[in-house]
Amino acid sequence: MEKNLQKNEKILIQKIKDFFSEENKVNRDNLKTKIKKKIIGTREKNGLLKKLIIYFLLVVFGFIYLYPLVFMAITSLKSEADLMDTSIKWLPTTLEFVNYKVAFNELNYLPTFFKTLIVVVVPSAINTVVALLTAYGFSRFKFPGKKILFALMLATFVIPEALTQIPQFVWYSKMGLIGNILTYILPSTFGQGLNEAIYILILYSMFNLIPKQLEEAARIDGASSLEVFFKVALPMVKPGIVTVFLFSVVWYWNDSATASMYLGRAGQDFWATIPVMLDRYQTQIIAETNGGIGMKLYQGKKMAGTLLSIIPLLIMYFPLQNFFVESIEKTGIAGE
Amino acid sequence: MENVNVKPKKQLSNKHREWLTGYAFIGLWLIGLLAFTLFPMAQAFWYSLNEAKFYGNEIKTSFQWFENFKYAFVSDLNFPKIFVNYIIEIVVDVPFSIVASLILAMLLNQNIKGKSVFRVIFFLPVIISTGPVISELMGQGATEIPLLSSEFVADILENYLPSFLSKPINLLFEKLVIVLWLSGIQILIFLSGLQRINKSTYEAAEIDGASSWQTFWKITLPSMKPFILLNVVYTIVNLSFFDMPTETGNYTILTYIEQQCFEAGGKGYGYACSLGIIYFAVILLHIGIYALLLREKKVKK
Repeated sequence: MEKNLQKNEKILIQKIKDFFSEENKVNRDNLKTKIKKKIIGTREKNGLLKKLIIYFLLVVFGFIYLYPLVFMAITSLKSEADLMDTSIKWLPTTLEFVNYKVAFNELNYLPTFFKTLIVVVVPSAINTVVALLTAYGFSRFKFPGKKILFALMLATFVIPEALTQIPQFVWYSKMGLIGNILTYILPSTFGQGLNEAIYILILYSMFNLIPKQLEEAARIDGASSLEVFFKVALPMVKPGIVTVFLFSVVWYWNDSATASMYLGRAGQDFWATIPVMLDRYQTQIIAETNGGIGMKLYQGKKMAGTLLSIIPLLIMYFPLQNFFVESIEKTGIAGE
Repeated sequence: MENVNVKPKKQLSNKHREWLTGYAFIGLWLIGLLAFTLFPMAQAFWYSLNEAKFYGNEIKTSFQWFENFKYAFVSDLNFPKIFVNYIIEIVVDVPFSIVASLILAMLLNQNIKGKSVFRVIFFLPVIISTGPVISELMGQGATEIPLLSSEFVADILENYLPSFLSKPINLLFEKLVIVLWLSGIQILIFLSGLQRINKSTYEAAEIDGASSWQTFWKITLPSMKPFILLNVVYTIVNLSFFDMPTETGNYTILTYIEQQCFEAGGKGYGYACSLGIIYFAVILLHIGIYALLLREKKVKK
C-alpha cells in the first residue's frame, strides 16, 4: 500500500518535472496563451476578466440610476409609523396605498393630467413643424446671411431663459396673458420654443443625409418646392420627427420653472401642470409643518405624488425607448 | 454673391427665387428670433442699466448706468457667495460629467448580452430629471448612495488631502448621483460618436500590436473630440439652466434672480436683468475656454 503511494507520488513528480522541462516549453506556452485568451480575451472575443469588469461597472452605474427610483417607490408605500421608525429602511411593515389616494386628490390628478397633456402636446407639435421647416430651409437653400443666421440659431441654445423670459413676462402681463396657454404657443409658433435649437439641429443633420438627386428628380417632374418638401423630404425623416416630438414632450413636461412662472401664479392657474401642482403640495406641507420634524410624516404622500408625476413619462418611455435611444445615433448630429 | 452681375439674367432670377424660398422656410423662426429672443435680450440689457420696478402691470425705470452691476459685487451680501458657489460647482461638475458619460458610453458600446436592458436603465434620467423630482430625491437623501456618501469617504478626504482639493472632491461625491442623473443626453451623443468610428481602424491598430489602452488614447479619444465639445456645451447649459433645488437659505443663481424680480424684498426687475447678464457672460466665457482648449489640441495633431 505504502509502496504504491510512493510510486504514485513519484509519477506525479515526474509529470510535473516533465511539464516544466525545457523540451516541453512549446506545450506550456500554448497552454498559457489558451488561459490568457479565456481570461483577457482576444481581438474577436472579450475575455472573462474583461467581461466581468464591464458587467460589474454596468451594474454599479445601473444601481446609481435605479436606487432613487426604488427608494421613492418604497417610501411611497410606508405608513406614518414606518416613516418615524428609523430601523425600517427597506421593508415596510404594511403597504400604505392610502398615500397614493391622498396624493391623487392633492394633485387633482385626472383634470391636471389632461391639462398638462394639452400644455405639453400642443406646443410640442408646433415645435416639430417649425423645426422641420427651418431645418429644411437651412439644409436645402442658399441665401444671403445663411451662415450668420445658422450660427445665431445655435447660439440661442446658450442664452439663459431667465434673460428672455423676464421681458416676455412683462409683455404677457401687459397683455393679460399670464395663466394663458398662449404663453407657450406663441414662442413655439415662431420657433423659439423650449430647446428648439436642438430640434432644428437634429432635423438639419437628417435632411443633409438625404441624397439631393431624389429631390432634383421630383423637381424635374415639375413639383414645387413645397411639394418636394412634403412628398420627398418629409417621409425620409420620419424617425427624426417622432424623436423631436417625443423629446419636446418630455422637456416641456419637466420644465416646472417656466410652467410655474407663466401658468402657476395664484389666481391664474387654470393650466397649472402636474409638476407645478406637486411643487405646490410640497410648499403646502412645509407650511403646515413649519418645516419641522412633522414633515417626515408626509414623506410617503410626497413620494407617492412625485411618482404620480413621472408615471405618465415612464409609461411612454418603455414602449418608445428605441426612439429616444437609437434616434440620436441615426441622425448623425455633430457630424459636421 | 460676387457673380451676380456676371451671370445671365435668367439664372439671376432663379437665384433670387432660391433666396426667397429659403427665407420662406425659415421665416417663422426668423421672426421669432427677432421678436422672442433678440428683442427681449436688448430689453434686458436696457433694463439692467436702470432701476426698474413693477407697479401693477407697469414698469417704472430710471437710468443709472452700471449701478446694478456694481451693487451685485460690492453691496449685495448674498450674490457673491452664490456666484462663487456656482462657479466652483460647475467647474468640477463639467469634466466629471464628460468623463463619466464617456466611460458609460464605452461600456454600452461593448458587445455584451443584456445591453438593451442597461440602455433602458441608463437613459431613464433623460425622461425624469425634473425639478420637483430631483428636489424630492435630494431632500430625502435618496440620492446619497449609502456607501459613497458615508462619512468614511469624507474623513479620508479631509485627513489626507489639502482642503482646497478635498472640498470639491467631497462635493463631487455628494453630487455624484445628481451629475450622473443629468448626463443622459451626453451618453447618447458619445454613443452615437463611438459607433461612427470605423471598426477597421481598430483592427489595423491591433495588428500593429497596439494595446487597448493605446487605441483608446490614439484612436477613440481623438475621434471623440467634436463630440466632447458638443457635450461640454450641452452640460454647461444644462447644469446652469437646470432649476436645481437647494436647501432653504441656499439659492441657485436662477432662483435668486427670480426672487429679486418678483418677490417683495427683491431689488427689482432691472437688478434681476443685470444678474442674468452676468450669468450669461460667465456661461459664454466657460464655453469659450473649452472651445479654445479643444481646438488647440486639434491643431497640434
